Amino acid sequence: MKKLFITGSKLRSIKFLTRDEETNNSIDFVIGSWGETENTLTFYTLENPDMYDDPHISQTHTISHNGNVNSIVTYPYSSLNNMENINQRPQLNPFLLTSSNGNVTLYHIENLHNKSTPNNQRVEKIQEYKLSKLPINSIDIESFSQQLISAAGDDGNVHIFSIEQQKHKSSSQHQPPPHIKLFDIRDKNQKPNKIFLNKRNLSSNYSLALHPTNPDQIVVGSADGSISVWDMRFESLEPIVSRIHSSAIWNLMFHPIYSNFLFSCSEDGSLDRLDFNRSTLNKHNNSLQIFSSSLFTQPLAINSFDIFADLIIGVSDSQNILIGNSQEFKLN
Amino acid sequence: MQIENNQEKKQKQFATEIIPKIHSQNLNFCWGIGNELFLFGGSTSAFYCPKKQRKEINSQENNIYILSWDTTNNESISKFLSQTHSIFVKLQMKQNQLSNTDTLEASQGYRIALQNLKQNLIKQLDESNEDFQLNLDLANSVNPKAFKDEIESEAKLVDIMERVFHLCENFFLLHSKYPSFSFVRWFQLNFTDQLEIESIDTESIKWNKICRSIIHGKFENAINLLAKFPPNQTIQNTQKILQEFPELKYQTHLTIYRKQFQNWRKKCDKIYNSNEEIKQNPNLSAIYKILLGDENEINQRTDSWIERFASKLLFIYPNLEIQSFGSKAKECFTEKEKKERINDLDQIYLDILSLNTSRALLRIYSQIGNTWLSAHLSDLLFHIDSIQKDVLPTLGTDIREFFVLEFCQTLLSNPSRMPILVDYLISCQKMGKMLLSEIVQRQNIDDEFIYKKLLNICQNNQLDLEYKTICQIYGMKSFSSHKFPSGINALLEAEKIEIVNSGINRFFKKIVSEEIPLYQIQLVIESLESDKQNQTSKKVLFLKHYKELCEYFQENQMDKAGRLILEIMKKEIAPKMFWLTLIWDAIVIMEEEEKKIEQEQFQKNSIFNHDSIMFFLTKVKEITSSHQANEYTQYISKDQLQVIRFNLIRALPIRIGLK
Repeated sequence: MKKLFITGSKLRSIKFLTRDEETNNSIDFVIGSWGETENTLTFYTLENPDMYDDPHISQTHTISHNGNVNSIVTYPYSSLNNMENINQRPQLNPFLLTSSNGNVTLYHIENLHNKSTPNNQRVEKIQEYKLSKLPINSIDIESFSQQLISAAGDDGNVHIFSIEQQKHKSSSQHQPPPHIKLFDIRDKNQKPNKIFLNKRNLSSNYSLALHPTNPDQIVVGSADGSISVWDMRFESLEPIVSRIHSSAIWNLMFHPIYSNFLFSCSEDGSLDRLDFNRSTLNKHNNSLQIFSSSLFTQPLAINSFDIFADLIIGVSDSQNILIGNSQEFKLN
Repeated sequence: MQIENNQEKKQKQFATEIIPKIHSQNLNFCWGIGNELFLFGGSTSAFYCPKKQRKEINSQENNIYILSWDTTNNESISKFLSQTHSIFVKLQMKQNQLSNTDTLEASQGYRIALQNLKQNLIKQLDESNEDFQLNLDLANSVNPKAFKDEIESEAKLVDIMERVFHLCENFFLLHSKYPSFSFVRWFQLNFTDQLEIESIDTESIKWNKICRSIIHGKFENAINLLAKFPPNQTIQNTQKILQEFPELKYQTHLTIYRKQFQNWRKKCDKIYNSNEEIKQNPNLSAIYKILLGDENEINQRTDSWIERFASKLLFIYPNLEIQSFGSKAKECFTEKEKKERINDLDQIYLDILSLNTSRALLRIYSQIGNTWLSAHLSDLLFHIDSIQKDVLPTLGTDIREFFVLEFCQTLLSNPSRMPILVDYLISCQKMGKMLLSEIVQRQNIDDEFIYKKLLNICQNNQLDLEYKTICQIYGMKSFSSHKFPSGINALLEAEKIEIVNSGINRFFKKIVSEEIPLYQIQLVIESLESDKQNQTSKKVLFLKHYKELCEYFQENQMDKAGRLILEIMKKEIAPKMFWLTLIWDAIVIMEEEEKKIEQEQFQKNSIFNHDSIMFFLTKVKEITSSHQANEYTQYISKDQLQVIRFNLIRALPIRIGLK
């Protein structure tokens, strides 16, 4: 199944909102735009996702947003129990998004599909955090307690905060040369425990994926289109490198179920699936011959994607939403 | 169909006072790129203004105003542009290997996109009508009627665009060997509606509909309409003759078709001449006259030249050669129509039929005013060699490139269309690349994401100078936000070592005035070390030593710290702005030394001897008597400077005799 859906703006980020534990005949997701005179957050519903030949997609709701929508992450509802105005278990996960104006905003979705609800009540902005004057690019939620949120951006700071406890601290970590740093937030020194630097390739790193089952392994996507596979136990060990794309890799993600599959999207307009099981290692130059296959090839960059079960949705500068089956790929 | 003269529309727009008087003396302007006009109170106005009359220019008069138009953010149009952009890019990629199928696919793709656009515009209108009804405030703030008129006129324009595209597709791509067939087919799809029989239709209306169906070549319709009449032999014969009409399909050989048509015409003639009932019945007579190609009958029954021409192609000259199309089409104008001005759209059709595609495109550009249509149509015709390819002296480039560049100017008016714009510009070779170079350097580099995208554009299009300019702009922006490692990396890419040095000096100022974490210094060192030409080696060396010094202080290794200070100062590695700070640190170490109780231990372990103190004093004097003394002493207070002098002079006699 492959489908293109044209929107009216350049798209930067996408996130599924539907909770995994529910079985659904429809799946909701949100997309953020960038570089438009008026940026938007647009909500879509994919009906009959099992109808692989012709899934039906409809636009549910749109809200305008100040600044580029850089990244979106869903926030667990359970962590919002103490907040005012959050009474019932919402239909869809709340979400946090980062913006080019340095803000991180928390949204709550009340009645997305109910058209009789006034527009400004269907998706509500609960809180907005002004972290920096410069763009905040990425955000993640601590997986264990799901209380702490970390966000990082162009100011070189890592901001760690908690919505519940209203605490915020930041430490300054300017990016280049392209280090990967491992922090323990319990350490009051705010210094990284480990620093990894690939001296053979000083291209900036734009994306990172943690292996779902092997916590020591991370994969990093670089500005030159190569990926590096690191073992976090060994700081001095050089990574295994492989050239996948011809330009910057904007997003990397392991399949949540089939962990030998790594997905990547790039400035070169391709969205690929990399099969680690079928890859071979060249021990002489520490490079990996990765078996890859393409799902989409666009004339312009694919900036982000998200995976929900077998469904994969990507967004691009061509103003397209790309819907595909993560198991069906055309071989390269 | 009459279309609005776009030139008149634009003139009306500019006649309105858009910006109130912004300058007391004079208003100057200059053109920007795309649909941009810069307006400002010119400095020349003050220059030429006599002194007596020169007034104080208030702050508003120093503003620059940017006037732009066609900056539509309509979502339907954005989708349309994105859809057609993909088609355009595919065409360019396959340029040298284009088959007829590829160009036909592209043309059909464009038409589908136009149809989608029209549907989306209508949908937008329906949705907005609902919104206006639900929300009175919205209805008050936006003029619903004006909005409706605008959308409706857009939809009409899209209709026209689709028709023009369809005509070119039929004429040049689909049925180029069978121009009559292609024109009739186009006419049938775009100008004829399905004629339905109502139960209350009178007989005359029924006959009229039959005649119109025959004139339009829709024989099935005519046959079905005839079946509504009481059956008799004549009616059945007429139905039969209509069924037997030899339709020219694109598989039919022309010679065979000619014979078939002649045979059919003979049969028709025989029936008409042998049947008195037909001759006496004016309606049946009209039908047969049309079928036999009676020009007067056809002229009477048709309303427009297009209808007339299509009918004549069906019944009079079905094998008309393509070269004669233009002249024959013009003959279809009535005397009355000839006296009135031929409307712009009809002129465009005539130009296409006359194979004068360049003139048609120029008319599209000037009369319809739609740059999308002229750009994409000219590109398509260019690929199938149906348009002039040589450089036109009046345009300075070939016609295709001219129109594509004009379209690019329209895209420029909306900065969010930058990624699409790049591909159109690249397809224009020299001029496109020049314009791309200008545009890329004018983009706002708000964050690293955009920075990377712009660099990618430059790399993919061999814009080396522009690549460096963007690196330079980003580097300098990084410096101003104190992102020194980013800035250094970017400026090293730009090969602007002098700006790197200036940035490093700013970083030095930051170090000397604030407490900077050591890893930040390390990051700057690593950024500088990536400079393969080692142009900043001295600064790198100092930073390394300085970081080392800070570490010694943190670890309380004062003797090593002291020796390092001496080394940095004596080898002139340290910039002057650091001298006083380093000497202050040295004094701290000296005081530590003096606290040691045993003279013997003091003598053995002393780092700073008499010569060292003299050296420091000389340096203090050099700094304080320099013409840049204020700059070098700004990071230290006057009291601290006095303390430095005092302590050095005090330490001097103590250290006499020490090695």
